[in-house]
Amino acid sequence: MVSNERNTKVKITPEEHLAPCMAACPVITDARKYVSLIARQKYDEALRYIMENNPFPASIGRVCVHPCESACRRGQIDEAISICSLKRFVDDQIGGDYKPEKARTTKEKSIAIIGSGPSGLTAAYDLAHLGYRVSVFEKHEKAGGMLRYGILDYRLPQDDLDKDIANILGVGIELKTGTEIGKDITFSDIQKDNDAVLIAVGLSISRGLPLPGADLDGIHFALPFLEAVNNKTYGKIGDDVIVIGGGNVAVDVARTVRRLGSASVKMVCLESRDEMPAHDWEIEDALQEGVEIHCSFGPHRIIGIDGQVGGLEFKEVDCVFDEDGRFNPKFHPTNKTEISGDAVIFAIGQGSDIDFLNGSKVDTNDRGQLDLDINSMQTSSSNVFASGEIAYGPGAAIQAIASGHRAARSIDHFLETGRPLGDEESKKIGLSEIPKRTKELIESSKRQVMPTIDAGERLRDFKEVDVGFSIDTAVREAQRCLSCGAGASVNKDKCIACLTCVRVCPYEVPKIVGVVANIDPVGCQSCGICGAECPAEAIEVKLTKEHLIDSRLVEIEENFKKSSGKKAIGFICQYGQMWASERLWQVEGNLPGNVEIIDALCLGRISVNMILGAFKAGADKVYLMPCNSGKCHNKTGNKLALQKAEFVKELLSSIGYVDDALQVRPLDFGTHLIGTAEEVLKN
Amino acid sequence: MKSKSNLEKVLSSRKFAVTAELGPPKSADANVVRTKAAYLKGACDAVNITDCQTAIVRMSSISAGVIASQEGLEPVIQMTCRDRNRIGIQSDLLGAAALGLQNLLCLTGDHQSFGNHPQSKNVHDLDSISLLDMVRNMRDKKIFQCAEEIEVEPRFFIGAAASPFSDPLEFRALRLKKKYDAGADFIQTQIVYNLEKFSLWMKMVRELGLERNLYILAGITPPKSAGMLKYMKKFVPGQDVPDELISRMESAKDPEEEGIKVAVEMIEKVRQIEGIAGVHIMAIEWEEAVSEIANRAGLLPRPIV
Amino acid sequence: MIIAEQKPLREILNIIDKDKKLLVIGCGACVSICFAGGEKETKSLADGLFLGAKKEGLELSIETDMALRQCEWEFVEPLEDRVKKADAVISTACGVGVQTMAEKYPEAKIIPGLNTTSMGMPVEQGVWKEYCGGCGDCVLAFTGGLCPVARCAKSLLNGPCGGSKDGICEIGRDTECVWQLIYDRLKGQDRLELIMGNVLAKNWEPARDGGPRRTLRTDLLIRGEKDEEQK
Repeated sequence: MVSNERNTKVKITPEEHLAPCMAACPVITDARKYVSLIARQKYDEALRYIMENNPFPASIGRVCVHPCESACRRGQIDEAISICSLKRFVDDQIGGDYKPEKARTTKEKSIAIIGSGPSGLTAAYDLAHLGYRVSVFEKHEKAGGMLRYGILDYRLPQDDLDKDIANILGVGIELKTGTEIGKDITFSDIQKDNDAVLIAVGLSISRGLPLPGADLDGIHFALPFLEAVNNKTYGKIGDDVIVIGGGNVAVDVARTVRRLGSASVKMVCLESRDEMPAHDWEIEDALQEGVEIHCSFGPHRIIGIDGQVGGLEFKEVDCVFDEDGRFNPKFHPTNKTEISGDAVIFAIGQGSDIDFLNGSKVDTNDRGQLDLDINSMQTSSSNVFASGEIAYGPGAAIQAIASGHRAARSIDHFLETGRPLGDEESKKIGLSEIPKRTKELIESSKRQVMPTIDAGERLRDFKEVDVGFSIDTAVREAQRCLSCGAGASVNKDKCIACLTCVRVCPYEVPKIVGVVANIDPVGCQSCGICGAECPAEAIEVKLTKEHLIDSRLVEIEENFKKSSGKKAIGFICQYGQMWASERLWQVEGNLPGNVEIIDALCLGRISVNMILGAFKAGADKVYLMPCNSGKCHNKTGNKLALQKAEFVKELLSSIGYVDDALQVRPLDFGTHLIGTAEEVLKN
Repeated sequence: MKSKSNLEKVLSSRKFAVTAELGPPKSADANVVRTKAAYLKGACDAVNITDCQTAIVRMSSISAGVIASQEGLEPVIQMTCRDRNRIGIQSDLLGAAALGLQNLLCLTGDHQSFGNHPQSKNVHDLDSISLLDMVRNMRDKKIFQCAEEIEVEPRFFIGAAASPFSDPLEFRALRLKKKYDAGADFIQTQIVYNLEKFSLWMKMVRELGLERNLYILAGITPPKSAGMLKYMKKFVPGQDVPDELISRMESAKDPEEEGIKVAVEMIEKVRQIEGIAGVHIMAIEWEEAVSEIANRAGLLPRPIV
Repeated sequence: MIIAEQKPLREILNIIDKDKKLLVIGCGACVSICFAGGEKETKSLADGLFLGAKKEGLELSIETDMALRQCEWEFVEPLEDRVKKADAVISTACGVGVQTMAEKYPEAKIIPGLNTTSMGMPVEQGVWKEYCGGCGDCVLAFTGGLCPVARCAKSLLNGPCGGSKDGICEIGRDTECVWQLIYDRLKGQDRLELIMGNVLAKNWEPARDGGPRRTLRTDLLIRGEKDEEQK
């Protein structure tokens, strides 16, 4: 864990060109970075990177609203990368083996956090890494907040949430569950015992509507309902259930009701289908599972039959939002409809429960909300902070996590300096649209589909709907990434305007501007070819640098020194190895002893000097495994690699190397990676 | 008359001229020249002595020419621009004239990469056209290239080569005019196998009126085998060998006899073309075939003028 | 620009003989652009030499450095310390740069790392062609802007020899017949008359044949023309 690189310190300079996924992410995760690590089958590194910004990979990999995917520029070619599911994939692969490193307590000060939802635990995680003693108070029996009690297993299995929480707590955080503030312990005691307190209790109260009939039997509220189902204290509540609301919680409720065995579930909402706040993909799943959706209706009256819910009367909605886009529903004066139903669940919004603050110096406003400084997240009581939904209102889990990060920063800043954290607004501008010409040159590739269990099967129990990506599916999906913002940058002091980059770029991006080359990051596809070819070494390609080839060579040289016998280094194209009979990450431990593999997303980024470097590192044999000719992710990458191999071969034979010192072993369907390594070594 | 050359006399008396070719040996053996000369004696009006043809080192053209003339032949000395600069060329020409040689063919020369010393440095101080101009000025203006006067000038009947089948085809007649302008008195062409293309070239030559002032001798080579033709077609610059000719040679029972027939037919055909003043028979390493060909073509005996 | 290519490693290894501490100096100008002696090539040369020596059981210590333009005194001056510490210096500049180094550092053992081939241009990525022969008396105005001195195998000035076929020179497939190109160009421009007159014996005195050339701009001299002439 590289704690000082974590989100708590992310600083973005305006001129930096961010991958759009990164710019769109509330916690500024460079999704591109971990996606490319997955593309290279480096799951361990990918998870470590994800954890730097987001301590909930298993949970967020399932329930995130993934603004990154909406921003993804692959969508401009065909379809966005399935980033969210890739995050989950990494966790599926190795999340269970993840061993959190204990944070060192370096500070005398202690911090109490009230609420163990995504926001509170994120803040706890960060603060522990910053060296504080942290205790988290949770009124429920288990930690997790809305992730635990607002989302059911079919979207987020408890075990997976437990895994995230265990990893977070593993850094050394004290968790006190079943401890309700104001009841089991007073707020003032907590404030007294700690140097700072963070209120992260979320919005735990479901709102209802003061409708006629609201006191009938068979009326339920979303959050208590979900929590009860989660605790298995609730079963089927009716055969014909009406859910009022059009947000994600309403959809969750409706899907849950179906799973409890209700034959009919009707969602009723004010908004038209297009205006519904729930995400399209959630609505889609609900429809598949047989949920009916009635749009543009406002509840007017709950119809009672013998003191029991019997149906609902609606007014037709003319419009939900006024001209300024504000929520201000207007109903049709006369048109009313009735539907039948034997239970009603309100899922129209949540409110806060902060009664425990009564009598403290923490002020609330006239609407009962916390009085908060939006920059420092500080309440009127200087050492009391707030984060998550209680601070900002309803939002996605990833926003709560972002808010937790900020709270941790703010608390640390306050405790270190005594001053509130100021405006740290950083400009997050993602790369703009891919230029037309470049788009034409990028090959289309279909998004991998997340396998799910059948809609029919789903309703039998709360089994998770999304099955998760297989290794091949995930790696292929990750390899669709355009690596936005990880491309070439020109060192203007070294550029000699030789035009090489202009000539070799398969995407026609570089141009000479004035007296030096300019490689517009908006178009650059990060293929690395220009970097490998530039004779002035004036081009650095971020993605190539991330491959850490130089440091791998140093490492290999050390390894080679320790062993005798023939040694070999293979450069392998990660795109092409998907055709091989084995996956590289499975192969690595099973290679012949003295064979080391250096992988790259396209061998076009391998320079002559890197190949020579492999020999310098002590290899007797070096072999290149580019994609079989005719197929290359970057059009010319494999061709250039082959030509380089020929060039180096000639060089080597002139200084006494045997003919097969450098070999080319193109990757094709069924190429045996271990077998190839053995052959190379044997010859 | 520009010289005392027999060839010039034959041509200026409007007789159909015959020249042949003698390749000097890759040795200092004068007997090779004498033997070859014996085959050619009486079969032609003059004999070209090649100048390290295809850039292979051989006995010099002037030396072999002197030996040939001792054997009763009239040599046409060849001089390329590849191996000598203007100093060397003028010096050699003074010597050649002093040794009684009368005819000179001015050539650019094959590139040394064809020959047995591809590593050598070439000269190309002059090209064939500036060479022609220099030689004519030596004769007619009695001056060296540097414009200094020559007391006793070398008087050569000056020839040049023409390559009707090389590219750009449309420029080939114009280039002949440049050679004429530079001082050429007679022309020997590349080997003619493609009569159609050759006739077309001659038509362009006549349109420029060149045939009225230039004696044009068509190049004739008896093919010894189909293989030889194939090789020429593929590797020898300026050759145009029709496929029909190759198959004719392939199906021939006696290729040498067939080759002689081909040469004779070709002579009869080029003779029909307006502006052709004679033939230049190049029987490569087959000098003994020349008199047979000339005989069958009705060109013997050679006139005495 | 000046085109060069790396000398065979074997040849350099033979020249360096027993020298152990080597310094490879690249040049940031022409030879960088033609992939012969820029930053990357100096390193690959150094690596190649290292590996070649290792094969023979020798451990070389090779460092690399660059001069912005190795053909300038001022740009090779900062290399002094490193040059002095090296047993031998391999210059991957053109012949001019090598000599600049040799003159600037008369004590040092300067070894050329490249063979300088020509003045030309990259006609496409990875292909360089000779375009100028430096004859000192430019004829391009009369040949449609295509140089027969440099680009004709025989430097002919009066049109193509008999070796021109399908636009290719008799010496080989990769060599265009420049006279075909000149003819096409001038015909296209309707200026064939430019090559119809005969160009007689060219004056080669301004070319290298007249001796090593020294080019002078008297208005630029700081020491004065007289000093310069006395030199």
